[in-house]
Amino acid sequence: MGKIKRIMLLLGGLFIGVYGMSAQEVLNRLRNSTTAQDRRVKAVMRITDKSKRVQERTLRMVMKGDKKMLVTFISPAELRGVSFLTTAPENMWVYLPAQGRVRRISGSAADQSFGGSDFSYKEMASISFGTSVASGEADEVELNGVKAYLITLEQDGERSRLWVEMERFLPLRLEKIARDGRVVKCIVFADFQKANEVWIPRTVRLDNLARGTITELKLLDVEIDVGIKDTYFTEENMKKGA
Amino acid sequence: MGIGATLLNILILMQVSIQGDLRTRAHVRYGGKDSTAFTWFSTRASLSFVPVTSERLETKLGMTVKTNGYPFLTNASDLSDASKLEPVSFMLDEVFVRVYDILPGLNLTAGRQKVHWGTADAVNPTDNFTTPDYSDPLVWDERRPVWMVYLGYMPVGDFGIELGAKPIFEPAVATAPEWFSVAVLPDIEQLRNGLIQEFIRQGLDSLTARQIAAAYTITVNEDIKLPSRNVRDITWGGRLKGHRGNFDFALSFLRGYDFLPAVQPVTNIDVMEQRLDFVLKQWFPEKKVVGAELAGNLFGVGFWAEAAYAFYEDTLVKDEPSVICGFDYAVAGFYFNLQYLHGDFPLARLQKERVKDFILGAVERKLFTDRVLTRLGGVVDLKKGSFGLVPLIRFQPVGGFEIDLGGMVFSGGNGSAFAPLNKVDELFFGVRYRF
Repeated sequence: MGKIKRIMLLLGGLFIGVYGMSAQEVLNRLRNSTTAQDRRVKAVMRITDKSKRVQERTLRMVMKGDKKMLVTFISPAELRGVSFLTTAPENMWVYLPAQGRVRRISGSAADQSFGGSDFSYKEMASISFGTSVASGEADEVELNGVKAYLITLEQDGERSRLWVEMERFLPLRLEKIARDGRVVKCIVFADFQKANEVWIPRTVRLDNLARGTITELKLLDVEIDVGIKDTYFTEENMKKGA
Repeated sequence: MGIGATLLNILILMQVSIQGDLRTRAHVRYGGKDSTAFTWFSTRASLSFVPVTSERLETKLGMTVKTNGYPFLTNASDLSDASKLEPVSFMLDEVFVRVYDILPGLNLTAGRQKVHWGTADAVNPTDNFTTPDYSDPLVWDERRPVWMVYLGYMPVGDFGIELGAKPIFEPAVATAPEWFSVAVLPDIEQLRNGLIQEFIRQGLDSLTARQIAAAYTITVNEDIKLPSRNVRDITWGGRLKGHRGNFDFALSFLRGYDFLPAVQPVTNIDVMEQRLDFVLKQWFPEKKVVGAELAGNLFGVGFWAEAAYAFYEDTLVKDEPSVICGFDYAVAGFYFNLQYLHGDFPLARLQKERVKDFILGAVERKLFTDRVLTRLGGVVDLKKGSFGLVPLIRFQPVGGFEIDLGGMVFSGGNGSAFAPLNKVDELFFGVRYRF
């Protein structure tokens, strides 16, 4: 970590000691502790439906910062080669190899299921909190015996509650809240591992409370700071896959 | 050890990934005079071999074997001819070599491949490289891969260029005759009646006109020509594409040919020889297509628009614009997709006077944690109100395996786009397994 960044964090820490933290500051600290320059990941996604039937997807993901991401399905057969690209919250595309076609995902289609999972395209695009905006003050709470900040996030008019571990600024739990105040989805981040000063959650579990289904994303192989360029995230590379 | 086993071992040693797609489907027609007839029966097995090469090289060998309808016997000796009892065709699917990052962001693909242009669903007037396959009445946007060289260059994330050249023209695969066909050639009696009417118009009485027409020798022939295979006759084109903010856009140009033939009937009457020769001339008109595409998001609704203007080199074919625009929206678990088309709709091409304005739409809803898909797709001819509807229930009991149950309903009066398909009402059942 650079000297300047350390000094800034130290000063920030002193400031917080006196005045407490805003939700946006907590979110910024979270991004600092969990966002790598880039990362290349192989992952398994397990989807468990209401009748406990389990479906598995294998995928490869390449990410740069907290906004650019290319995901390619390796299995099952009906999704093999399908790629998802996002470069900004408003820019998402899916590549369909059977048609040789790249299709923009826009509007409400971004709320549709990502590869049959409980994650929507929009949730996948913001899995690193790159597009979230926090508002208000951070409340100090306890979650399962762990001291945490509780902050409120807003994105495209949707509200979420995020618990952030106080000590390392790691995301613990995210609850998506419907307009009527109900919690519709709950995402739990676990099995954190540190690599190159960055904490990576090896398990992300999403409970879709509205549907009674669960999607668990387990990261198998993670490579950090491998030198992925910005120009990697193009339509042409969707054919190649992550 | 057999050759097959040896080949399989070699493929395993080469770490060749094998992908398969098995499909079978049968249609029963319940409306009209063909009531309860099996009008469509298709089984196809597709295999793709994808060797693991390197990060910068991708190769693919795909092939399909499919049954062609029904046994076809003309005499008893055909019973020993397997090709007539079990008619099967073998087709090459995508067979290509693709090299990534020849220069940073520059990819080259050579071989049989699918290239897709256009932002719309089902009908893409700017998409003129790959050959349309109209053989399956349920799939309106199927394309066959074609042999071509293709360059895609995206040096920066927001802008790119694509260039392609296709040396050999391959025409569209037409609707399977077992399912539906229209007579394109007149029969001899129709021509003789025409001759009688012509003689009467010239002043002969009906009896004399009939006697003279009866003495005429009448021939009916087709003359169909493919574009020549010269370097100057290749299909080629380019596309500039990019995105800014919420929008994707593209501009394209292509020099190529119509995938379906233009027709011109030619009738020669030789009074001295008492002979009438009818020839239906068919050719694939050369055209230059200028295209524009747009896709984006306005107020939470995804929309797209695609326009193409075809300039024909042929004086017998009129230049024409095609436009398709639409939007999709997902709400309360339903997915809606609606498009307006000014241009050709595949199944409406069966009609002689081509109707040009349509609304295409679909509503989808997934149920039982996505194991069941219900879908209602349809198309309406805006001029006469004729329509086609395709309801479908797709059940996925285990991963990769799908069971389809659905129907097709067409309705249309005289002169409407779907008049030839009026009363083509069918139920279908199909299964599909991918591995």
